[in-house]
Amino acid sequence: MSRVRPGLARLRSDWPILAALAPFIVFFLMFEAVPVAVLLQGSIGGLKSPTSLYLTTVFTHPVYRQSVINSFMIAGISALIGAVAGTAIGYALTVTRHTRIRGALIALANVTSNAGGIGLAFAFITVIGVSGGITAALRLVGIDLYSFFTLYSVPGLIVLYVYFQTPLMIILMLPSFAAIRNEWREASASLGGTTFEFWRSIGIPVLFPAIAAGTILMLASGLGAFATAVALMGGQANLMTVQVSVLRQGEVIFKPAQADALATVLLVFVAASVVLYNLVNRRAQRWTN
Amino acid sequence: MDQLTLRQPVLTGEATSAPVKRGREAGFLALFLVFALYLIVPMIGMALFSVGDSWIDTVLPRRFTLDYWTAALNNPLFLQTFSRSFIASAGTIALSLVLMTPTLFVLHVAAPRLRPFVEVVSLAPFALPTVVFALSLIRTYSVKPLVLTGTPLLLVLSYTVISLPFVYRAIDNSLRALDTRTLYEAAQTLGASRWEPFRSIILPNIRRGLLAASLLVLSTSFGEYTLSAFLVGDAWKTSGVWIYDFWSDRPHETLALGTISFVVTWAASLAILALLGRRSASEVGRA
Repeated sequence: MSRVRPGLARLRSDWPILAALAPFIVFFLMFEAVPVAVLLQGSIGGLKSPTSLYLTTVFTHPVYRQSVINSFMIAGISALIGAVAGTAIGYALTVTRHTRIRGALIALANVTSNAGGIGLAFAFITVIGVSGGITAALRLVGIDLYSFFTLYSVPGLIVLYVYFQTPLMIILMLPSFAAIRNEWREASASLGGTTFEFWRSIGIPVLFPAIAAGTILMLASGLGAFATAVALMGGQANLMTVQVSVLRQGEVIFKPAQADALATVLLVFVAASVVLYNLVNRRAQRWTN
Repeated sequence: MDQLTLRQPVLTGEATSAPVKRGREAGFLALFLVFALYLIVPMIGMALFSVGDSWIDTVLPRRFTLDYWTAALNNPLFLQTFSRSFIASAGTIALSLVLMTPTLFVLHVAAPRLRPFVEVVSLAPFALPTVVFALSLIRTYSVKPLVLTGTPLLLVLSYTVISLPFVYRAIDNSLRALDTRTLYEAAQTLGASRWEPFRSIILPNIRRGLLAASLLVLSTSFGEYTLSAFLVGDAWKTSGVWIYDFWSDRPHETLALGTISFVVTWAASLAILALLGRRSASEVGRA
């Protein structure tokens, strides 16, 4: 029997485990790590002559800078609307006595929460497009919708984003509402607390991390949304995702390094949001587990 | 995470009087109605548009016809692109399950300390915007030594990556619910081989989780547009890309196809809900 050092012994006993995990590790390297690394090095113009030019251009060039502003504005506003609506509806679903309606709406929220995409945009065009059914119905009662709104614009995009973000928020909030225990309420009441005081000192502080986490996650999903916007407005929508695709496709303005840089900035924003979501959500889950 | 179903709703105060409650319930119902209409009306609009004629500036179509459906279904591209979308989804389901089931099994029985690594890698695609991911794959796999762009293989591989978070959650939850490690050790004590318990005990017991994972993959990948347009485009046109191209030419027929796509993804989502009982699909699918 040869003597082996402890580290090597451990390696030997671990090799079947590593072998079993090898396909996963190879898959991760080939289709997550390497492509992202290639993109990152592209954003600095290659490792041979690195430059921050392309990354700074994202914030100095008027068109790209505007796309960053637009992306944050649309994702931010729709996340806030989704947060308010999702929290209110989530609360109503938790306390309502209409259990059948609750079941049906939760099912509906589940199917619509990943409904974004080209089909959704076309569906909205049929109802509130310039010649859609609801647009026509409003005209019958004397309201000219298109005098103050168009679907093919920033407010239109927000209407669409809210469509898939509100159901997501509801699904995220339901466990948090369920976690508010009746005993807390009774304890608060028996100590002389009013309903208002209960919500102010117990309810809201318990729910706040969950609401914040949900809002951040919706912001991330809004920043990354592409198909919905491109189906509604084609290349006209000046969003970061659309600019990345324009830079890639356009024959004339094909600038690989600039596309990589814009994509890298978008990746950093979304990844930072998701990391923040996880940190806040960990706090939110103190009460639900 | 099951409080929602196990416990009755608890937020109603004891002191609230009956008329106040009734008024509040009426408010809830109004809220539910507005929300349900917001979610459903566009879908009704889509379906009506596919069977409606001369629907311009009127509340409802003036005439109804099945011509658009007939034309859409008889278009040779229908069968081609929709079967490609099914093939891509089926391929993704197969690859996801083959890749993740053994990995998570090993993680549960033998290597719990590697869990953080596998978890981060599996959930990372959440933080990867689809357009960014598509671009990074183009940069990497449109040049030698490995040219994959334009091939269905790359599409399946990319769908597998974006499905990882859902698949990871679904399989991990079922393995945890089963107490896999204890079962595995019991089987070992009884003299089973290394892999035998995986095939004969674990797999049959996580069938529901595997089915839920498959349906989640179907509902996220079927008719997907962005990765399909970037990575394969016209070289292997899927239903999502075709629907996008078709819209400006033939909007009515496009929405017949759109309706089919929505039915497939909605059916998959509802099946997940039914499969997992009242434990909502989100708990399996999302963070």
